[in-house]
Amino acid sequence: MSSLVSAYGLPARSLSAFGRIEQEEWKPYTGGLTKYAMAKWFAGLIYEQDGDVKVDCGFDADGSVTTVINVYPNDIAKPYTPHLTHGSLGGAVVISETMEELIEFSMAKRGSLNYPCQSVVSVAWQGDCYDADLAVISKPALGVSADRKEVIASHEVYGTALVKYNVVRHSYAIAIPLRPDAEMNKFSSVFFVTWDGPVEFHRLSTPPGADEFEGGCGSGKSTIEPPDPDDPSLPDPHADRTTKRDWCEPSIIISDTTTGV
Amino acid sequence: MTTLAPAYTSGAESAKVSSWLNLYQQPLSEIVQKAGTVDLVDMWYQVLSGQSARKYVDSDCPATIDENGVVTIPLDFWVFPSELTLNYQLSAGIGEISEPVLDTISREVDLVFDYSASQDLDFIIESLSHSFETAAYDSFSQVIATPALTFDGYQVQLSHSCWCVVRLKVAAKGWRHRVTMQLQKYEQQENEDGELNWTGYKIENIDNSIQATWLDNGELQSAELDLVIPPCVEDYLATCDDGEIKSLISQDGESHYMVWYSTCTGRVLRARKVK
Repeated sequence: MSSLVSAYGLPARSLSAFGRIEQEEWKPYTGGLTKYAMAKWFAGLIYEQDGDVKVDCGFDADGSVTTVINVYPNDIAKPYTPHLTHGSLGGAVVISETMEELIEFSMAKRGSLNYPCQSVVSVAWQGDCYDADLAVISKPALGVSADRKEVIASHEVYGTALVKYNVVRHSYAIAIPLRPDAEMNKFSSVFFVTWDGPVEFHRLSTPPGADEFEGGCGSGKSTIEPPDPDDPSLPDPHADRTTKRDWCEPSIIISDTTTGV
Repeated sequence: MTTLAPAYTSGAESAKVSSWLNLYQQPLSEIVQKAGTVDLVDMWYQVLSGQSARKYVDSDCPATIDENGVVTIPLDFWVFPSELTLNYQLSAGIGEISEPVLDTISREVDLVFDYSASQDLDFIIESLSHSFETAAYDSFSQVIATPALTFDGYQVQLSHSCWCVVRLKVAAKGWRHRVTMQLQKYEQQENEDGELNWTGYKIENIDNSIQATWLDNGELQSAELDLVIPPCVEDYLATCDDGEIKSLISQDGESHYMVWYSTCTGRVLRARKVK
């Protein structure tokens, strides 16, 4: 499998001796309601349709936190062993990707990459290249450093190159069950790899509210008592209704008959 | 888990500095600040049953309003001094600070020793239990002897440097305070017809911090805690929800238009022909 991934906006980070370990980010609405989900719920309630909309809380059906760790080794031939302090780890899915990154050279021959480069696909210099006197000079050829962490220009320049390069990603599916006796950080876990260098690790993030949700988005059964039909304070069902909402306390949502308007 | 007895002598001695102080805001529940489908369903049935959804109360968002339109926001924080006898003074940018209450806080964390032999916590450890989540590794990822773990003051120490992960359950003593902010959110005003209406204020960009000062060998030291205002409070204060002002803007024979608008934004909320 191959895909093109843009690494333009990433902050400059130096690769470790091993490579890079990343966790896939939680979606923006993980643990919350989207407008679509909310509208669907209301539609279901009003029209008695099936309003079953899945709300993604980052949990599996059994209440485990599920996430994915991506490992980008510098040297794909060098063996390593992945571990997890808590939870289960799936087998590696190996994927070849093409990264696209803007590399700036400031009168230098070396430019750091965000991911280990297995091979350069293409180089497109963005405008001219300049020497120390800001005279236009020839555009250098780019190669890869032995440790695959940098691209190396054939001569020093001021210039910016759009570099497409191949990386190899090892993806691991992870399921983290609730630590039953824990009082805090109930889903915490650390992913780490052992190899012939120092241990590399990544502390796994959990979805928002994971400690409190404990494996679900909140569930429960509520009973709304029907009002007493003889209660004189009951609103006239045919009257206009004023509804106000409040972001802070749901209690402030008002649905009372409008009088005197 | 292995439980260790308190072995430290005093915070000041173990910390090897005369005196220090850490400030820590009590974290708020994430759940109570968000609505979920359960809340939607409950509130919807409140409305359908003819009852006001006002009755659906979730009071965990730390903001309450009184009959005078004043919003009260209480936020708790902790002072962890190097010694519980340390004399310190507190001040808040906004609000009143309560008297201290001596209390115990417990924390449970995974501590990663990344080729180090000690880690500093934010408070003096009163008691600690631990379990190793991994083997101990050297700088070539080879398994080595598991180190002994001890604690001294605010420091957790290993008998030798290595990479390992330790699960800690820690209890610490500190002074708990509450800062209470009060803000005028609504005010009653008289309109041109002599009627009293509530006018709301949009309150945004609230920054509040706690400053602590104490003397260390005669020198004044200070620490600051930027308080996190819970998002539900920020939203509540920023919502300018007084759009129930009634205004007659036209009349044609038997009917006229009633227009409701927000006194905060001037935005028309609703217009309706009334006979």
